[in-house]
Amino acid sequence: MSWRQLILKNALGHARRYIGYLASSAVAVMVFFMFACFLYNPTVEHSHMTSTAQAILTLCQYIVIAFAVFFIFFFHSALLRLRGREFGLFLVLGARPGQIGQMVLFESILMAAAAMVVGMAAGAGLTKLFLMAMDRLLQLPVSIPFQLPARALHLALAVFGCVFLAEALFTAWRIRRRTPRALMLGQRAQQKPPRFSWWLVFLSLACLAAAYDLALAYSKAVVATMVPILILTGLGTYLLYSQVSVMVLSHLRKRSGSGKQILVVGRLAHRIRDNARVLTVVTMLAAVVITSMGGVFGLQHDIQVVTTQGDPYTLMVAEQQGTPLPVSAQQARSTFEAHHFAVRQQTTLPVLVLPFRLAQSKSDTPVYVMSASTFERTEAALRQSEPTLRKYLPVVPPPRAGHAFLQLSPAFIAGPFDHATSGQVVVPGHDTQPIVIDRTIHAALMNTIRSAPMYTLVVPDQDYAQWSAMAPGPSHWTMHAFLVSNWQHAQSAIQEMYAQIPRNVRDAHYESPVPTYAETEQLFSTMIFAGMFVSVLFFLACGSALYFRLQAQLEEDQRQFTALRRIGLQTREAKSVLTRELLLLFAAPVLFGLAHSVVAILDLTHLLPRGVNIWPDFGIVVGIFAGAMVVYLVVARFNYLRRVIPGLQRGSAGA
Amino acid sequence: MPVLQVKHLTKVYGAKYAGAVHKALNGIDLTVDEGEFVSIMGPSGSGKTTLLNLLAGLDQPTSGEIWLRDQSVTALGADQLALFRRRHLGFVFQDYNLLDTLTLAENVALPLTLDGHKGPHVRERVIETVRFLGLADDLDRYPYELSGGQQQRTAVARAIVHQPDIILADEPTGNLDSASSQALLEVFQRLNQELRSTILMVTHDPFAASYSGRIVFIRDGRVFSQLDRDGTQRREDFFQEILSSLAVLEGRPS
Repeated sequence: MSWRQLILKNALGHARRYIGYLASSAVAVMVFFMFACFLYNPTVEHSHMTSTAQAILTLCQYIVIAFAVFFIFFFHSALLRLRGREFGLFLVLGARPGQIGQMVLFESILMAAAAMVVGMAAGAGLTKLFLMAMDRLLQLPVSIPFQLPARALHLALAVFGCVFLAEALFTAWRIRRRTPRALMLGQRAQQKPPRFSWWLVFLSLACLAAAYDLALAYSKAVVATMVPILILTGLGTYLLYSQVSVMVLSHLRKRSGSGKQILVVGRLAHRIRDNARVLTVVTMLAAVVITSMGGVFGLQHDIQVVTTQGDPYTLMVAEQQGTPLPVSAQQARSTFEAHHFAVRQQTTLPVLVLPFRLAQSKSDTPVYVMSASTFERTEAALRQSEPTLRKYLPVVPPPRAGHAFLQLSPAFIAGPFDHATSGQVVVPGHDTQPIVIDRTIHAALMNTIRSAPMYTLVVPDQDYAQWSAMAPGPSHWTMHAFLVSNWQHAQSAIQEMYAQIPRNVRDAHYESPVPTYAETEQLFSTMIFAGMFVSVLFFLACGSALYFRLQAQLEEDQRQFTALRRIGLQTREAKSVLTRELLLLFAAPVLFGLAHSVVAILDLTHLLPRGVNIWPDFGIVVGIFAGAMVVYLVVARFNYLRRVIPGLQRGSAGA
Repeated sequence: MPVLQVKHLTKVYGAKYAGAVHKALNGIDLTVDEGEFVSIMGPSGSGKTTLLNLLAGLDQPTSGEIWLRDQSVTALGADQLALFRRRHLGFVFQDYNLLDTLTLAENVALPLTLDGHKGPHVRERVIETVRFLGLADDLDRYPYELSGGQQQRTAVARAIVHQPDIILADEPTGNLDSASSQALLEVFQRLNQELRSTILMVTHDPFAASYSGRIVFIRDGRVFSQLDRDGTQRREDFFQEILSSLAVLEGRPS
C-alpha cells in the first residue's frame, strides 16, 4: 500500500461517475481522427475531391476541437466540484495542496490517455467504413484505399494532447489554489433562495424577441446578424432558465395545490435555477443539431427541384446571329450521344435581346423578348417532359396587344422588376415601344446564363413579329435547349464541351446545371455525413451534461427523499415527483431548442427559392432527436429512481 | 506538560465586506495537557466548529496564537500546515468521511501512505490499530458494507494510525444510535487510558461529554466555565453535574 496506489484505486473507483465525460471525449477524438484520416489520405489529398467538401470536413474538425475545448474544461471542472468533500478530507489528513494538484493532474492524464486510446482505436475501426461511404457519396472515379496516415495520427495526438494537457494543468492549478475550508464547507453553504428580478425577466424576453426578429426580418443580412443572434439567443435562454422559470414557479407556488404539487414546484424552483447553465448549453446544442441537420436534409432533398427550377434544361446554347460558337448545337447533341446520354428533347427558341426601361427609371436593362406562342409551345413541352416542374409552371392566357408578362427565375429573391407594372422596350434605331406589364411569373423557361439577361418579356405574337422585323441582326438570338435522360450524371459530357469553350464565351452563351448540381450534391452528402458524426457528438454531450447534473444532486436527493419517506411520502408519490422533474429537465431544453430552430429554419426558407419545402425533413430530424432524448430519459429515470427512492434501492447502503 | 495551548484566539467573519461582522471567537484561552480527554460544549453558534477548524489549520485566525507542543500553528504556511496535520493531528468527523472507493484497511492507511510510508509495515500497523478497535474481521470490506458504528470506528482508526499528538473529534456521536455511541465513547476512553492519547472532542451531547475528564463550556466565542471530573467520581454523577452546568450556560433555571 502506498499513496500512489491508493490514489489510483480511488480514481478508478470514480470511473462510473466519469463514464459520460469519458465517452464524449472519446467520441470527439474519434470523429476528429476519422476526418483527419480521410483528409490526409494520399488518394484524397492528390485530387479527386472538391475543395468545398474538403473545406467542410476541415470546418467540422474545427468545430470538434472547439467543442472538445469547451466540453473538457467545463465538464471536468464541474465533475471535480462534486468531489470537493473528498479533496477536503485529503487536506485534513495532511495532503499538501500540491499533492492534491498532482493527484488531479495524474487523473486527468489517465483519463485523457483512455479517451485518446479508445477514440483513436474506434476511429481507426470506423475509418474503413467512413472511406467506403465517402467513396459512394463523392462518386470518386477510383476508390480510396484504407490507410491510417501518420500525419492524421500525429495531428490527433498533438491537438488533443495539447487540449487535454492544458486542461489538466489548469484544473490542477485551480484545485491547488482553493483553500481547504472552501473545499470542506463548499458542500452545503452555497444554497441561495431562488429569486428573480422583473428587470431580468424582461431582459430575457427582450433578448429572445430581438433575436427572433433579427432572424426573421433581416434574413438576407444573415452574415452580419448571425453573431448577434447567437449571443442574444444564448443570453435570453440563460435568463429564461434562471429568471423566467423562477418567476413562473413562484406564481405557481402562491396558488395552493396538492402536497405533491408544492413539492414539485418547490424543488424545481431550485433545480432549474441551479442548472440554468447546463440547461442553456443543452438547449443551444439541441438547437444547433436540429437546425443544421434538418436544414441540410431538407435542402438535399430539394437540390434536384431547386436546380431544375432555375435551370430546367440539361444544356442551353445561346446562339447570337452572326457569331459562330466553339461548340454548336449540333456538336453538343453529338457529344451527349457519344457519352451515351439520350437526348429526350431538343427545343429551339427564337428570342430577341433588347434593352428595356422600367417606368420611372432612366437606365436600360437588356431583356429577352419572347413571343407568346413560343412561350406557350416551350412551356407545354417542358410540362410534358418534366412532370416535377408542372406545379411551378403557371398556365396563363396570352397577353393582349401592348401588354406583356415579365418572367424571371424563381432563384432570384427580389429585385426592382418584382413589382414592375409598365415600361418601354427600346428597339435600336426606332421609337421606344411602351408596354404594360400584366403580371410577373416566377418560373424559368430557359436556363439562366451567367452574363445574359435575367428577365424575359413575353409579348403578343404580332408585337414580336413587328419588333423582330425592326431589330438589327445581333439582337436576334436562337436558344437551343437540350434535355437528356439521366442528366444528373452527364458531368463527363458537359466537361468535354466546356473544355473547348473559353470562359467568357461560356458565361455568355452556355449554361448547364450539371456541374453545379454535382458539386452541390457532393457538398450536401459530405455535410450530412460529417454533420451526422458531429451531431452524435453533440447529442452525447447533451446527454452527459444532464447525466452529470443528476449525479451532482444525487446525494442531496437521497437525503431529501429519505426524510420525505419518514414523514409518509409513498414510493408511488416519490416516483411521480421525480418523474415529473426529470421529464421537465429533459423536455425543457428540447422544446426551447426546437423553438429556436423553428425560427432558424423560417429564416432559412426566406433565403430559398419559392416552392422548396424543408419542413418534412426537419420534422423527421426533430423526431429522431426527441426520440433519442426519450430513450435517454427512460434510462435516466430508471437509474435515478432506483438510487434515490429508499424503497427501490437494491442492496442497502448501511444506516 | 501542555500539548495544546490556545492564547487569546479571535476569529471574525465578514470583516472584509461591509455589513454584518460576526465574531465567531472572541479571545479564547485554552490549554490541553498530555493524556487529557477534554470536551468542548456550548450552544449552537458558540464557536465550537470554528475553534476546531482553526486548531486543525483549516482556517486562519484573525488574531491570537495556537501552539502545539513547541510549534506555533499560526506561523505555518500551507505546505508546512499539511505536514503538521499529517504528523501531529488525528481528525474524527460527525459524518465519518470515509472514501467509498477504498476498503477499510486502505482508508485507515491513508495518513501513513500520505507521509510516504509504504510496504508491508503499513499493513502491519493498520492491522494492529484496527484490532485495537475490534474491526479486524472487516479489513477488506468497503465502507458501504459496514454499519454506522463500524464506519465511525474505522474513522477513529484512521485518526490514530499515525500516533498523532492530539485527536480532534467533531461531534463524533452525532450520527450514531445510542448503542454505537456508547461503544465509540468507550473506545475513546480506552484510547485515553490505555494508550495515553490526548483527545479534544467537540460535542453538545452531555452523555458523550461525561466520558471525558474535563469539560470547557464556551458561549459567544469565549470560555464560559470549566468542569473537572475528579479521579473517583462516577460517570453518572459527572453527567448530572454537566446537566446543571449546561442549564446555567444556557440561562435556564435548574
